[in-house]
Amino acid sequence: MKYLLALIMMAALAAPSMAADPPQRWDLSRLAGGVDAGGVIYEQPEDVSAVSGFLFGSWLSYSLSSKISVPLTAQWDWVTERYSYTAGARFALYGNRASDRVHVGVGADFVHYEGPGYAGLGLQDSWRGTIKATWSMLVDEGGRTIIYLPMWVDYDPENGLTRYVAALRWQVFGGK
Amino acid sequence: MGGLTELFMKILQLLGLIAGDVEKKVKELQLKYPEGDAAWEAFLTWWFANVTSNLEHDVAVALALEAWTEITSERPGYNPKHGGIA
Repeated sequence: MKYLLALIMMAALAAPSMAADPPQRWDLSRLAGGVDAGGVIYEQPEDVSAVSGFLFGSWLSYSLSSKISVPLTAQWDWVTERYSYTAGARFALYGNRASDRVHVGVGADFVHYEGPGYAGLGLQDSWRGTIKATWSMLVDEGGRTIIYLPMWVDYDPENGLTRYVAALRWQVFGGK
Repeated sequence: MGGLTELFMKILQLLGLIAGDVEKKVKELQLKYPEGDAAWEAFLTWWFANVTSNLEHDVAVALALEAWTEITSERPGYNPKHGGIA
């Protein structure tokens, strides 16, 4: 958690303004990051009732192309004490233009679980697939999204765990 | 410069010109050649000799990317909204 937050702060300081020029393949202006918070519902086949919680997260994402990006995320649910850390890839299905307000993507992540809330989980290291739909809720004059409203479902087939999440996401830097 | 779009002015900047240079040349040629077509022909000659001949690869690429971005609002090879689906 500390390392990811530190990385976000360093990147924010290193890239205070994103140039309008097309970015090079490896360029800090392709990096975006921020924090988010939202509600989550966990479902496992053996659960009698779904478990709900409240997620806090931080994220970093690097845009490799107009369709593909690679995010790192760290999410902490203090209600259920379930923590997860992911590294993965996303494919943008819709909404990759600066003027778009709705964005849809699918992806897959390597995931590492921690915390007492995951004590009964079969595998601590697993993978999950995800589909996300996001609305650019607050956009500045330059077209950069400041607040996203993402909703997503992810599924870990190894552990039979499904999560339904609705969140509010602050993009601290990047995305210009 | 009223007739010049923002995109066109950016193109001129990328070519190392300022929009005023072009307008100045147009007016100069219009005075020199009162007959319109002759001024246009002279302008084209000046344009080809002084503008497009100066295009270097990097400039041409930057120009193409700028035009693409302005017209499509996409930045080639980059998704400005990737944070939303992270």
